[in-house]
Amino acid sequence: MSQPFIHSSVVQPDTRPLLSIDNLKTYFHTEEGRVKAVDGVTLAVEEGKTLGIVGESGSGKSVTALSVTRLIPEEQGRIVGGHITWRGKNEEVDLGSIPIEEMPRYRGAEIAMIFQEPMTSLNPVFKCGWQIAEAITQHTSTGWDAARKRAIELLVEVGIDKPEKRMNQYPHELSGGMKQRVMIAMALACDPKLLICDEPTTALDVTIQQQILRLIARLQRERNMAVLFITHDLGVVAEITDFVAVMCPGETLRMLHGQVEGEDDGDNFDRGGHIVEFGSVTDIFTNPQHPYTKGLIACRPSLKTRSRRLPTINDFLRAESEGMTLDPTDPTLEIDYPGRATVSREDMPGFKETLIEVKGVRTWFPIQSGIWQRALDWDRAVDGVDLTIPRGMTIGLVGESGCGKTTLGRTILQLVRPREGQVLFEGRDLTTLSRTELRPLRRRLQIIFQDPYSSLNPRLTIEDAIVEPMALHGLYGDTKGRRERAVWLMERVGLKPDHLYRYPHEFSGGQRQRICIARTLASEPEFIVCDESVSALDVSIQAEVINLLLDLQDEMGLTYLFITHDLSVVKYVSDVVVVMSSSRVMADLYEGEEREKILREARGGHIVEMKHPDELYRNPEHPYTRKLLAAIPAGDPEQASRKKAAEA
Amino acid sequence: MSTSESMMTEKKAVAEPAAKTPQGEGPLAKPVKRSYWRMVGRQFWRRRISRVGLYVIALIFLMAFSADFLASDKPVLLHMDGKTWVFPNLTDPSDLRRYDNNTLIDVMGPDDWALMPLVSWWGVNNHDFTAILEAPSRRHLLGTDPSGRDVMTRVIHGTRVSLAVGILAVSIMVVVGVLLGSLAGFYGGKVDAVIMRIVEIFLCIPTMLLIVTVLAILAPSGWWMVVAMMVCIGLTGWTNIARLIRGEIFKVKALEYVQASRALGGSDVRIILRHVIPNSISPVLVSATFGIASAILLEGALSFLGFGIPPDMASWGGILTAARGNISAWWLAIFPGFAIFVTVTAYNLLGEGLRDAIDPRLKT
Repeated sequence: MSQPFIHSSVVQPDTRPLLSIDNLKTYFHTEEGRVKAVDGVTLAVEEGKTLGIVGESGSGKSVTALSVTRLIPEEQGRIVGGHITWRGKNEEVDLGSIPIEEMPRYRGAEIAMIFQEPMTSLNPVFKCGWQIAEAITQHTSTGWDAARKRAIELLVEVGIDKPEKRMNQYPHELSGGMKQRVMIAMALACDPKLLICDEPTTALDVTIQQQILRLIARLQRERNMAVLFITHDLGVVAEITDFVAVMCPGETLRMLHGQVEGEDDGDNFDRGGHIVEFGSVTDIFTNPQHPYTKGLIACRPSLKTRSRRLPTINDFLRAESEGMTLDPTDPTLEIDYPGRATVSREDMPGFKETLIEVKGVRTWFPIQSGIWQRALDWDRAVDGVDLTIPRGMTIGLVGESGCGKTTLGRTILQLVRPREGQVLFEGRDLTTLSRTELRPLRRRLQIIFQDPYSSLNPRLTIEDAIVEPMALHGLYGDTKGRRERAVWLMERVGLKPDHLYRYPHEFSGGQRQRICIARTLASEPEFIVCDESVSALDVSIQAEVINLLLDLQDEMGLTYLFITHDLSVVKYVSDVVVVMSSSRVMADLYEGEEREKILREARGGHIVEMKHPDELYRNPEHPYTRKLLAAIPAGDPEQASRKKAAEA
Repeated sequence: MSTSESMMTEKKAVAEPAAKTPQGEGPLAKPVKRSYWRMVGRQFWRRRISRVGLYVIALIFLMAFSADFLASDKPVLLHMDGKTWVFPNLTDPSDLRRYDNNTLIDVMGPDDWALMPLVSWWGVNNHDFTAILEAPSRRHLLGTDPSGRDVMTRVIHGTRVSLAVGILAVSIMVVVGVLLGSLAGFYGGKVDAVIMRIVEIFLCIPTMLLIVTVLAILAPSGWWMVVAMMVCIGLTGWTNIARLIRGEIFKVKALEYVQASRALGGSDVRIILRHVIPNSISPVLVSATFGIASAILLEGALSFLGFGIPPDMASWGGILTAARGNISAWWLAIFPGFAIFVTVTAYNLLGEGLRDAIDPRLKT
């Protein structure tokens, strides 16, 4: 596949871009053979502009950035072809071919990088101020005192209040957003001309994400820096970038040639991660050319999405291969696929009847200390929640980290026991039942977790994992019956039955999540807590899994408690949206007097607002909900600029 | 629950046709097994040095099992005076009692034949009074000790004691350590606090002194001596393993598959045995291999001090004791010392290889 990528608009080629990457190839050598992480990437970053690279995991976007800074571990991978031309301070070098020993001259000084995980990017044993000052002294001949002064200036610039105090604090004393600000201050220490941001907001809550994005945009403007912004989230790209490059591996494009997985492993799909489309941000969003880009835009539910099922990237690739053109911006786009539910949950017996009632539940965790583990204080994870869950419906539970949403889900399932309150399931109070009495009920109340990697026991085959719940509850007679059921379940969740004999590590994240769903369904539950079940997945896989969950709901009349931090997804899937928050989470949105007042209240996680999704998003009442909704990244650049204008 | 059951049947009825993929006759195609332990094995095998360790240990085991065929005062097969003895080295028949290999050869006629032990013609407690404290020679390949016993024979037979001490002591360690450690790790809180205090108490017991005291009080004989030593080493050495597995279980029990099993209503025993222990056992294996090495060293040290194995049983430490009183007899120190060194090194190589192979960064 030597076809060039699509320019969706004619970009005026700057004759002297700051960084130009020409046909870059970075390959990794693993036990399974060569992996073409980056395979022929050509792009240019101009001075003072922001270029976004979007792609799903495995598309090579991060490796492209790591190749520029030569941070790829040498024993595993290397740049095998292409040029990385850097036009820095009156010189022109090929970063791809200079000896690695010379790289420290460029890294940090001219090209700075910030990473996804602010929790682990700072060294926990040194004070923040020391770490920034060290970055300054390393690249310049500044003295220690001057460096400290400069560090304080930088902290002010990235919007940290009380900078002198923060200088003397250790990383663990700062919140996630603040750590990311410190990271940015460190990156700015030597006035870099290019800032590479590798998923800098992925690990942050949505309100913090918005603050960080604005900070990066402001710094970019003020310092006339170039920014290379890598993310999987198109919404973020719409907010911040000027140009967008969409990357994906050749393997993903199978459908484009009308082929399904495993049919042909010819050279066509051998190509590694490359750019399929490049253009200005408005063009990418309003007039995408490549079907992959279209799929990427369409498969992420936006606040406008109205269709009953989400389109997937494969739908767009298949449509293109059959000569059809689908409009990714159409919010009512419905595409049929095999396995789509033929019945509707409305026809199930008992639809909308009360299934679970939560009354005044408080779940506090003791903070223990000493040899005999006496409780000194309480962590009020869930602090007074009332909630009614009707059968066959999806209750969406949103909130930022620390608001107690996960604990509420686990309290309903009695995985943690509440301190007070009732959880009524068909009229029986689960909190008063003993473990033995609960066991038969456990079959009907299930949970699907977030991390598809840690939710399967690596020592058990898929079959063992799926059969286990059936054996525990004595379903389907004997081993033979259970195996047949396991085969049926595998097919229902869209996997091949002969995968039953494999071990979890042989599957991708999306496949593992399907296996987890199959395992959950094995015990024939009626109520399922989906605890961030789609959050860790790529957007296209996320759409497929959401579709699967919706189909299963229609077919089996399942009731979901859908816990997520993603405000767009929750609006799409839910019948009722519940917003949770705690005093500590809300306090971060205020300053001064008001902050103190909220902190004094010290209430743990509770529900601040509960409404039909359309109503909630149109007319949020609680100030916290309003702040939360305002922070959702815009679906497209037009909306982003409108939002900015409105705020200005 | 009748409503839910009727729902269930309905569900199946409507859901069945939705499955589009064809249900082939043999959907359960040939299993492709790539379990965790296979990968560990592959990773282990890739390193030559750990392979060497494994080979050496296999060799030592072979030596221990075939010690009577390698060194004995009776032949392996004997045909004499028209009679055939099979394995007289094992059975020790009464009509051959008065002979040993050397005297047998003298009385054998021209039609008689014998298959001699491969390495040494001397028994464990065969005193060659013509050669007291003799340096290595053709007659005694590794020399003799002050009572005229063949050092080669005793080194070969000594492997049995060393291996038995190592393996049984470590088995006791692992059983006690894994049991208490996993209880502490899984239940946490008060259970953990109590068990960890017990661990601290046991850590304070000096193993050497305990063994000496126990041996002095019980005064066991023969193999019972070995058993008593192993139990003492095992009962004091489990603390390390308990701590290791406790830490590992703290990590594993927070993982979502353990939570999932709990949500499914799995009992504690099932969760511990099926989900928790298999995923936290690997560092214990590594620790156990190193434990075998240190148990062997401890046995050597005790025997060297004269507290260990009785003098009529061959053990490496026992030979070393003799070297203490006879400084000039270098062969009494070098050969058993070398045997201990090789065995301990091999176990350490095995342990290191295992540790690297189960490294969490292991490619999956």
